[in-house]
Amino acid sequence: MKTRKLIMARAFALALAASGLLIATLGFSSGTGTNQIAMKNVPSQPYVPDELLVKFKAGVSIASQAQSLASLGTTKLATLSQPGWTHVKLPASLGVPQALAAYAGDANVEAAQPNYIYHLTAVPNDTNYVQQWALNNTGQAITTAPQPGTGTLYPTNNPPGTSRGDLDIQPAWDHITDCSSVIVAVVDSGVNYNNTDLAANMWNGNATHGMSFVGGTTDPMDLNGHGTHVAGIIGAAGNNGTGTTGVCWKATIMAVRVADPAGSLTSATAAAGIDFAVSNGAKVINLSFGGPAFDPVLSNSISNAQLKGVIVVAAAGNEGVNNDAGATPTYPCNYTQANVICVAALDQAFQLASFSNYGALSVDVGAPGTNILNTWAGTSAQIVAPLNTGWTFSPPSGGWTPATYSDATTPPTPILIDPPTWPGGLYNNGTDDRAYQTVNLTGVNSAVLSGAANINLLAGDSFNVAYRAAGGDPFDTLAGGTVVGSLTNLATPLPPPLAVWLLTPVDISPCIGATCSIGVQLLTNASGQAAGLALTSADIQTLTLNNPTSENTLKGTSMATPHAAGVAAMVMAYNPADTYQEVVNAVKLGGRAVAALAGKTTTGRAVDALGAVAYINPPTGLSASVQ
Amino acid sequence: MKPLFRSIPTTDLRIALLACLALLLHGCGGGGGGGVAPPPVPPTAHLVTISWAANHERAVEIDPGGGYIVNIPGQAPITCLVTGFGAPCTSAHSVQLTLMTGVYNVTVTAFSALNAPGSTTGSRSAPSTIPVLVP
Repeated sequence: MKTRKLIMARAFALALAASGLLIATLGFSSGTGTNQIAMKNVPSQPYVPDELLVKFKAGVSIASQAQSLASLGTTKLATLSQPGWTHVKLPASLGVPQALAAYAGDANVEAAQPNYIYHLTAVPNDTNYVQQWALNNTGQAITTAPQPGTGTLYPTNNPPGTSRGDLDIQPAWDHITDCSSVIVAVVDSGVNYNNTDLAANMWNGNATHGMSFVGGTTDPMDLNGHGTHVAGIIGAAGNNGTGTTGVCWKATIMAVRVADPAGSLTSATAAAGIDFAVSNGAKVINLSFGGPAFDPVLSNSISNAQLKGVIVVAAAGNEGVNNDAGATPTYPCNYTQANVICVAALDQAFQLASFSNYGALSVDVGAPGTNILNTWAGTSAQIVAPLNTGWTFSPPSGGWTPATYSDATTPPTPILIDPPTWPGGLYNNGTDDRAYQTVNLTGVNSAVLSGAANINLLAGDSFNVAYRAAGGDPFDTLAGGTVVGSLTNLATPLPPPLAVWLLTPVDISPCIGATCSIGVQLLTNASGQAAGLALTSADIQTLTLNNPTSENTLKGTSMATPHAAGVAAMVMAYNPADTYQEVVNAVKLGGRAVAALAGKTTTGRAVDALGAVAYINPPTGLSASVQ
Repeated sequence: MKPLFRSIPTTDLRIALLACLALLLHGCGGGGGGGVAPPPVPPTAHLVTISWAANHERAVEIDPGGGYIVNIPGQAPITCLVTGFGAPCTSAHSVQLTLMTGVYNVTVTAFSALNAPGSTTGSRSAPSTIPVLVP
């Protein structure tokens, strides 16, 4: 009977082992003279595969214990502090399930169990972690307001979020928080490498932690803020008791500045930035920018990155359109190289954000992208130019004129118009109407002019914007004025309602000082007339690098992308032998299915940090030989 | 003038016809055309080695609890732990066993003790398959 029980126990243990199940505990009672085996399965847990903890019955001699151990070829490692328990090592030929089954038949043994493996439960102590729903979604409301002029909170599902609708990163942190072995390049507006949460995690391959390809400098200091925010999402120092945390608590962030303070970049700067990152050892590149044109130069740089085994993580875009449609692609998201991961934005309820682009053929995964709090480059401010006062006009009358507009949906709003009869009249032929005013930009590090206007211009007539650091007429280019924008041949619908044309933000940082003048001009030729202009807003966004602990709350696929890039770095650091393709597979296929992404992305999945770290690629190199 | 053909004795002709018939019947042995089936070839046992490359995931190759499961139709699954393997595993990345004549679609699945989201039994890869022809 005793023999039969032992055989049955062994057979059961072997069957469990073969089926991949783990025996968690195997205890058996003592005192009856026969082993009454009680097996129970509890949720399995990793255990040391060649070790066991064995408890001998009270009164069993040391010699008998040694005999029991020797009978299975096990060796004693230590005696535990608990009475009777011994820590043993198994021979290579004996698995834990088999050993447990064998000890079940040993009259000297009271109990035996695997030597389970536990992990520390990692939650960072950063003071603002409670606002980082992307990393730990408790359904909390995100209340940290964006810095002035940098946007507004995304109101949808804030709250309620979806508890656990996040990056699933806390359990991943039980396995890895240090990604510093992997260089992650933030090819963006630069990074404020002096930010308290970033300084320790910057790449130190050169004195400036990276490179700049704009502004005539090699210093990648961020004069916009966007790149610093992206960098923080990837690798803000975690568990340092201050600020926020990144996906990786420790990281190596390479700052590659390709965008000016206005956030503008070109094919040339983007390609140069990617090439720099690749040639200087980056293994993950974050590209939180996009445009509608297939750009061969940019594509070639991404192909070169692929050849070097570098992963490129790109933003899907913020137009709320389908990237698969022929008219609305977004590059680099839509490039088809295998090293590209394209990321859409999810909100706090894991719904596709209203602004997020998507594409069942082009966008791969989703990640948190609304109300994302992380590092910022400094203090942002917005100077709103008063449109109904403070102007110098040339000519003094008959051209630009302050006015007030209102309609059924627009409260009385100061505007600046030309001709004075706008919207009912026509501008004059052969006119050069100018209006300018002085703005104090003392002490800031960057300044960006933007605005909006209702514009009706014929070809050959133009609306121009200029600045001059010394003050005075900014269109006097011989005296230092610089024209930074020019529009022509446009027809904005006339009010009501007051439709406007958004003016592309332009960098006017050379105008920083106490006497900066900004101006607008209507320049017309000798023939043809149209309704002219109504300037409805003009503002200057400034950034001052005066606060190394500054943070900001932003939304966009720009913010979703670095979550995926950080997870890619995490997987690469955890599995340093992985190929780029294996890491891409882990990020894409290790994600979890999200209904809002079904049919909207190639995978229908949201990035899941634990899923990516735990993802196992199928075995390769199978071969068989038959004799 | 001599005849072009030599006359053949009747006895010789009969022998030749029987020989041709025997040859014809023997030639039909390959099947088809209603010939006589040959005796079945008895299945034979062969020593088969199946191997694969080491995965790159640390949870499979380095951490405790990682390994591979080899599934061969008609056989019990074979588990090869990276740390500590036994027959029929000849290493963590190969098995050697005897298979009878036949075609086997062998799958190899990597596993680890690192729990995937929602799992308490570790993680598994998708299986990789190789057809094995045992003559």
